[in-house]
Amino acid sequence: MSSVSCEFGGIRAVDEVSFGVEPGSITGVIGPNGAGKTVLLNLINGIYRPTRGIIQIDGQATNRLRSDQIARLGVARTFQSTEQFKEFKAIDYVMLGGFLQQCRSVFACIFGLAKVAKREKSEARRAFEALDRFGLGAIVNARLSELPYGMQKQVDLARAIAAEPRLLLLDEPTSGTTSIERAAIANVLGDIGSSDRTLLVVDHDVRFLAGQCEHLVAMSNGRKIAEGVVADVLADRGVREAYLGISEAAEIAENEEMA
Amino acid sequence: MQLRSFFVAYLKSDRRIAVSGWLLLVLVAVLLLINGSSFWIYVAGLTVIYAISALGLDWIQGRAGQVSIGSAAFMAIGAFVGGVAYAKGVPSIPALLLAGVAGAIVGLVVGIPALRLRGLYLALATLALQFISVAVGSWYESASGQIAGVAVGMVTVGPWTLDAITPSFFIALMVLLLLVTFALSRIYRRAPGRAWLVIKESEISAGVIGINPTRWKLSAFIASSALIAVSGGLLGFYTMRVQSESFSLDFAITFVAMVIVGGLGSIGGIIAGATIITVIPYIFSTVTSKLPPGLPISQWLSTNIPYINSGLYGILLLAFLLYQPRGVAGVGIAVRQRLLKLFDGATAVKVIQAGPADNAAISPVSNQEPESRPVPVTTAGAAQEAEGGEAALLEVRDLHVYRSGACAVDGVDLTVHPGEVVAILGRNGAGKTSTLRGISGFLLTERSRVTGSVRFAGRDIRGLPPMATARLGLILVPEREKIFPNLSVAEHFRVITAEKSDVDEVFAIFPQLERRAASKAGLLSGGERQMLALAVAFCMHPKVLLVDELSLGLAPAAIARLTAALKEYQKRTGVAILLVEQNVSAAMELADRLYILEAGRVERAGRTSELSEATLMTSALGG
Repeated sequence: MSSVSCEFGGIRAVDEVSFGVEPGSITGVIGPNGAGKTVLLNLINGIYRPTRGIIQIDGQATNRLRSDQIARLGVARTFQSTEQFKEFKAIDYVMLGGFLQQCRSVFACIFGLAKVAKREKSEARRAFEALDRFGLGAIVNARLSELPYGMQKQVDLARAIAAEPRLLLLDEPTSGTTSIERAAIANVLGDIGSSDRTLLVVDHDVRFLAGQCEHLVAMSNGRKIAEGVVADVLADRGVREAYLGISEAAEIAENEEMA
Repeated sequence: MQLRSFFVAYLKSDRRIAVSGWLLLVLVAVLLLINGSSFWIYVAGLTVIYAISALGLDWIQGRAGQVSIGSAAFMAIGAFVGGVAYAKGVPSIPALLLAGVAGAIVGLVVGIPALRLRGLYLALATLALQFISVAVGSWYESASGQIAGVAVGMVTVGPWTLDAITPSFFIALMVLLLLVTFALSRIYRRAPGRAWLVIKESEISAGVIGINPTRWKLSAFIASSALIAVSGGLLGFYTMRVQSESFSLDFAITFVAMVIVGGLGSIGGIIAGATIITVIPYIFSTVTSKLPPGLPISQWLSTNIPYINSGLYGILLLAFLLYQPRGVAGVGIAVRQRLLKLFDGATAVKVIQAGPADNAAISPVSNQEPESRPVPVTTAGAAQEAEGGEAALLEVRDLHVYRSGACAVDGVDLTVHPGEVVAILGRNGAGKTSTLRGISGFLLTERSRVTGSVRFAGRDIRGLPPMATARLGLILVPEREKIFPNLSVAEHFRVITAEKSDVDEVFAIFPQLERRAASKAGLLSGGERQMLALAVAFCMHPKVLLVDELSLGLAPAAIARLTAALKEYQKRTGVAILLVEQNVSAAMELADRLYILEAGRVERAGRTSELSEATLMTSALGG
């Protein structure tokens, strides 16, 4: 993306941000609250349209595409909260991930019921496997509203992975999760990372990101303040001041150097 | 025992419940055919037609979440197209199909502009369609000289002629209803059903998942319109006459009443709702006509029966909206859950807890943990004894919270003394938020059950609604939905009629809020929202402040600022604070005492100074 801006009622939530995500890499985005990280994801997803600048996915400009068209290009994402899907059963929710493969057009989906039915079984199996990867095989029939917050996030991640996207956007995958859940999420991300998926991860847990990512982008007040290899970004003075307690950044940077 | 496990398996299987619903329907039909008078069979046939129409309405409203009041309009379209086609010599079955096609076309024409927009546009467009279709119908009646309506003949299916006077029409309608419900339940269970459900829940998220909301809404509306139009065509054949004036707005509202009383999004519920709304007036009229004629009341009743009947819809509708918004289907679900709990209590409760346990088993963290498990510092009981000298401000004993059948809090004891900061730690699903909500009364609004005792300043407050606990000085800052996104920061303080001096004071604590006083709270960042929520709570002069997840989703710098502000405020006012936290270091920074919850119980408790951070990390989060 290059020089992307987005304004709401005169407030510039994202201000002239440019960066690229290499195919097959994992890139992290950090920044304090209100830095515009989630807005950035919403721009890539087509939920918001940039007021200026160009976003390209695989060389194709997406500024004028609707979010479902962008999803068809192979972009999937997780949500910060799955509150809006509380009626769904976990298995049905994860099956939404395979929806695009199962239903190419509305008409075919409703009238090609025999075909859809055939795929239904294989999709259900795939969804179960995706949940099982997180050790959630026991809760496939629970409604999302009955699950604790951290588990809802894992179910959401399973759904996004089931879409087999080329670009996977993760919006705070670890917020509100425990260290155990974090380890499970990190495991699964490691797996997808080693296949040739491209990931863009927004999170607060710098340690988590440092362990997962090759690249970091740091944002503050809608602007990009640093970009590069993890250790360099964490060592950056501006980043430390804006986001981290200085000591924590130093500690992580040191660990990185030792490794 | 075997019988019991069979019964539990039956209750758990959606498919078995659905099959028994169908069997019940067939049984009722057979009983009616054997025992019922021709009058009641006629009423039953009418009920089936209305049920098909209501299922059509549920398609767009209950599944795709778009409000429509076009039932009568589409039934009128179907009835006129079917009736006129029949009068022009088209055989009955193709005439009914034509009715469906006409409904689909009108649905497409109305739906394309109305469904591009969100919200109530479809409701308004269908309301307009209501008046247009009645006007066109009555124009046709007068233009063709059929003032008393279009006369329609009988339906012929192969060698059979269906006559509403004989049971044959009713039998055919029953078969059709079974086919329709079978087809619908298949569609809803599969990919299309999921697509509509996502759109109903959130159109934005639907787009992100790759589902085009406009097209899917349109498809539901077209299908719904076609089905309703076919039911209108059937009504024409059944009553043998099509009259524009019978498709009134009142008639449209009847179907809204059916889907609400029955329960949006449930096929069984919709059929039940259609039955209740259709049959009750007939039962009522039958009963009143059987009253002895000498009574003065029977005279009054027989003249006023139409008014009573239409009033009855209103009362039923109101009663369900107020007490059971999910309709008859909601009652069914509640009964099913109650029965499941009765026969299968143990496993129902365990569903939630089974998850994290399995999770731990595969997690690398838990493997190295058991040997190094530290000895508990103090038990919950000892902690309370140590504090026993002073009267507790908030005292919770044996608190149990059940949320939709599952036990979230399983006997928690805790106390908060005046001027004390107490934190509840624990991993996700340990019952922290449920404990806090059980204390503040917020759970009452979420269909949950709370038992045990909650005493605040010597008074039992368990079961009091949030309004009452807030008035007593127990203020909750919730985890989510803590602000009003459409009000500005300044308006938040006006809503609670805060004193000017209090507002100045909180602005001094959070200068960032003063700078953003005029912006809408929905545009604030996560940290600023938390500041606003705390500031509003401060202005309400709490005796006990309950804060759910102070640090959730916030950057380290923002957490540091918030904890500092909260600490400073606490020191100055001496307010007692009960925090729920996942962030161990933030909790240790603030709290005098800690409780660690695990699977709905207090795992350990003690003074912060007695518990090392490492101990807490492993016992609270490493579990």
